[in-house]
Amino acid sequence: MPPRLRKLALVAHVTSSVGWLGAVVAFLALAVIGTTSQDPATVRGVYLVMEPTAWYTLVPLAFAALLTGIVQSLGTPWGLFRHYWVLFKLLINVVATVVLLIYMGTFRSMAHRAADPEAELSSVRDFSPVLHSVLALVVLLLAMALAVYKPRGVTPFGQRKQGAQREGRSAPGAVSVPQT
Amino acid sequence: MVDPSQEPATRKTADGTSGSATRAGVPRWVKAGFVALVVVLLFVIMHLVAGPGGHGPGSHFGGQAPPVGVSAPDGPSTGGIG
Repeated sequence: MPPRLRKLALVAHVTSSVGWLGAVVAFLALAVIGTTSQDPATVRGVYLVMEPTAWYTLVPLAFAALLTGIVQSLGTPWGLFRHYWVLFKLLINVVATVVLLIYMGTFRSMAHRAADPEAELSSVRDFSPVLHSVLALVVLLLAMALAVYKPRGVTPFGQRKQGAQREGRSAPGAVSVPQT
Repeated sequence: MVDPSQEPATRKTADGTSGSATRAGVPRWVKAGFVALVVVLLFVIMHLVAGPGGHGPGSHFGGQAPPVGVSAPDGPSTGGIG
């Protein structure tokens, strides 16, 4: 991948990943408000707005982070399956995205309860978004730490690739190509 | 995210080979990470298929509005209809 394109992919990935993290922080704030506010309108409003907001922010950002991460890793020497830290980031992203999609049903249930004027406030309040937001934060921060620290560890696939590259470079008459 | 300035080609040992490639076996943090991942996945699966009293199979797939006039028991639920 040309350097300029690689940097563009990096910008896209960082933007979507940090954006996803920020959206989760905002959801955590909403969830805390939902469980602590004494104003019935505020409590109901929180759970009514969570579902559409998640569809417009969390889900697109999750997929954007996943896709840009895949594109970027495939365009760099790190690869997608050669280093464990990249592999773990991929797994974290995929699992978090799947869990998010499943959780959209819970958002819908909470919104239905909040919209029911007969439902008591105590039944509308739900601690689940608080718990899930905290867990999501932990997972996304872990992915961010992996991206920054890049702990060592090459997968068997990566070792085979490196071995093939070394054999190619050491072969008689081989021409070394500078890494870009 | 991948920082081009720290690409594997620039991380060489004194003999010129990649340090990560010369280490045999799976690093300890990878083993711990896989164990943690399996635990999390098991927890998620159990959370989804838990029987009555906890989270039912449809607890996270819910979309059914509660009947008008029927209110849920007091106290916060743990994740939706279940």
